[in-house]
Parts: sequence; structure tokens; C-alpha cells
Amino acid sequence: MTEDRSRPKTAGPLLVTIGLAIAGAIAAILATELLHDRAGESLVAGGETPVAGAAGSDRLCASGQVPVDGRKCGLDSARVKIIEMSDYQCPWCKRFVDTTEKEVEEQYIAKGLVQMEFHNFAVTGGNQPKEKNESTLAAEAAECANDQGRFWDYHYKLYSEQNGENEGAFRPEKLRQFAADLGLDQKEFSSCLDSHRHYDEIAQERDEAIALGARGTPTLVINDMMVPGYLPFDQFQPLIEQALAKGAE
Amino acid sequence: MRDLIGQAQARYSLRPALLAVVSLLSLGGIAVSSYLAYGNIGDESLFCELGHGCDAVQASQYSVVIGVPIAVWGLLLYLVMLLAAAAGLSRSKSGELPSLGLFGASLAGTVYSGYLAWLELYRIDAVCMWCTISALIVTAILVTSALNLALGRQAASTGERGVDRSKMKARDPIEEVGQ
Repeated sequence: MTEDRSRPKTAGPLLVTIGLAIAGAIAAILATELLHDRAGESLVAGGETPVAGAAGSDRLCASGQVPVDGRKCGLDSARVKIIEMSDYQCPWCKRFVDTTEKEVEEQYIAKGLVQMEFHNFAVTGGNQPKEKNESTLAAEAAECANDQGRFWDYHYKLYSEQNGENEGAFRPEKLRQFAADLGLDQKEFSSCLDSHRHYDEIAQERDEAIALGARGTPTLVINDMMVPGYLPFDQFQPLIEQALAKGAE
Repeated sequence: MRDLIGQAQARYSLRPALLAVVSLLSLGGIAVSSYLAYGNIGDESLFCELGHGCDAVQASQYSVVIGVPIAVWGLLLYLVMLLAAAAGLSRSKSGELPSLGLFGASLAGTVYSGYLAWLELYRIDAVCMWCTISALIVTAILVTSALNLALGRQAASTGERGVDRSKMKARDPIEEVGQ
């Protein structure tokens, strides 16, 4: 400051400063536009569509663009947690996954507002033995894919291949083929599936769902609110908004 | 003549106060950006009383640029502004440079904060309370630093118009320390 009064101030340094500041701000804006790299948000709001994951899925949870931890998809810090208790053979579950779940992913999970976690509620296969029960077989296969860090790819694959109940769509050979299609380690996958490594866990999950009050598939839990059965997105969305508003209070 | 000197001194004595305000604002900015960086790096949910957009903004792909969270870039900018304010307060012989640097950094920060606010409103579709507070802080620093710069330049001009600088120096305790 001493020299502030030692000589007259010309406009030159000030103009240079303003020019440098504006140039710096523009450079920062360009860097943000071109070099942003956090996974998540604004895939929808920005008009972009999620890129295909390794499996070729166009679904967000398999795209690598949002944090995924096993059967959880979305940020751990998300304000709303949704638990989806579902069966791979149930047609209403497929409808939920293909429509409502997709919207939830793109409008809420992508923005870090919701985390979704899948729980097996494998009941559609009935009392078939575990070798013939395609609900539990499909759930086991998804868990075997989960062991290789590819739960969501396999999850979407199963729903895309759903065809009837215990009619062969999810027989072991088909499940192995899906694993091959997705590029999983086939030897490890077959070993897992053939040993029924996850069967007991899946049976336990079913019992837990029933103990929680689930009486049909799918059953959704939005934070502490149980939502029985399929709901289209326009009816499901207000429940998410309600949970978000409640969380913000 | 005495009036001129008095006016110049009155203006000039404001500048340490302005720089002190900038220092405090910068410290506030450092606190806010540190909290945002903590939330971003640790994937922690932030306290977000107004609205619920903090997590959405933090999760957004725009929250990290060139591999570094924007909050960390903001933290660095506030540190630069704090150092510039400290350099001005220390009355070193670096001339007008700290004042210009402070003004330039806060101008760039304010323009960029405006862009971030636009991103929140029109792309991310969520508003983060802490980001808004940071934008207000950097804008306040811009206004304060512009005033500081203008007073410095005005005082210099006044001196140039014929003020007896030896008297000014003798009567200005700030300048005495600086000499």
C-alpha cells in the first residue's frame, strides 16, 4: 500500500486484471463443461442418455455412471432409500423394473437423491425343488453375478429374458448362457450356481420379507413406508417426493 | 489543503478495515468450501436446511473438474484471496499488486459462481444452500475488494494532485508502520 500513493494509477493494470479475471473464469467454465467427471447426475436433465455398460445395457445402474455396491445402486448419502423386494419370474416385477424403476434411476438415483437396494423375494417358483424352481435359480444366478461385481447387469438381463413361470426360461443352461453373454467368469459362475451357494440366503431373504409384512411381488419400501405391488411411475413418484420432503424437514 | 489531506487519510484508513473484512469473508469461504469438499470426497450427506439439493449437486457430474472437486478449487481460491488480503494488510512494498490480485480473483470467482448457479438451476435442477452461501461470500469479497482498490487509487490520485506527502506520511500511522 505504501506505493499506492507514490505514483498515479493508470487504467492499464486494472484493465489487465479484469481481462485476466474474465479469461480465468471463462477457462474454468470451459473446463467444467468439457472436463467434468463425477459419475451421476443430470443424465436426464442434461438431455443425455446413459451410456451402455459393459453388458450393453442402457440402464443406469449397469452403466458405471452411478456408484454401485453389490445390490445397492446410488449414493450411500441419498436421502431416500428404496428397497425392492422382487422375484425374477413375476411379470409385475418385470413391469416395475422396465418402467417405474427406470424412471426412478434416471430422475432420482442419477441425481443422488435415491439409493435403491434389491432384495430377493423369490416366491413365484412355488414349492418346486431348488433344481427346478426357476425363481430361486434366477435369484441364485444373480447372486453369483454379484460375487463377480456384476449384479445389475445380470438383474436386467434376467428381466429382459423373463418368459413364463418354471417353463425353462431360467433353467441352469440358460442362466450360464446369460453369464457368458455378459462376459462373466464362466467357470466361477457355474461353480457358484451348481453348488447352490446362495440358496439358503435367498430362502432367508424370503422369510424376512414375509416377516416384514410383504405379501406379494413386487413389494417396495420407501424409507419406512411399505408400498405393496406394482405402481406406475406417476403414482410412485409422489411417494418419493413425500419421502424427500419429509427428510428435508 | 488540509481538507484534501483529511479526506485522503479518511479514505485510506478505511482500507485496512476493508481488507480485514475480506480476510474474514475468505475465512468463511474456506469453512464453507471445506465442508463441501468433505461432503464430496467422503460421499457424506450434508446438512442442507433450505431445500434438499446439496446431495444432488454434490452427486452431480459437474461437482468434479479435472479430477478435483470444485469445492477444493474454491478452497484454493479463498486461500489466494486470504493471502492477498494479508499481503495488503502487511503493507509490504508490493504496491498495488495485492489489491489488484484480490479484485481479479474475486471477479473470476464471482463470474464462475454465477455459472455454477446457472448449472444448478437449469441442468442439475437442484440448489445447494452451501454453494449459494459461497457465491454470496465471493460476491461480497468482490464488492469489498473493488472499494479497496478504488480508495487506493483515489488516494494515490489525490496525492498526485499536490498533497504534501511528507505530512501525510507523518500523520498516517499506517504509512509509518509501512515505511
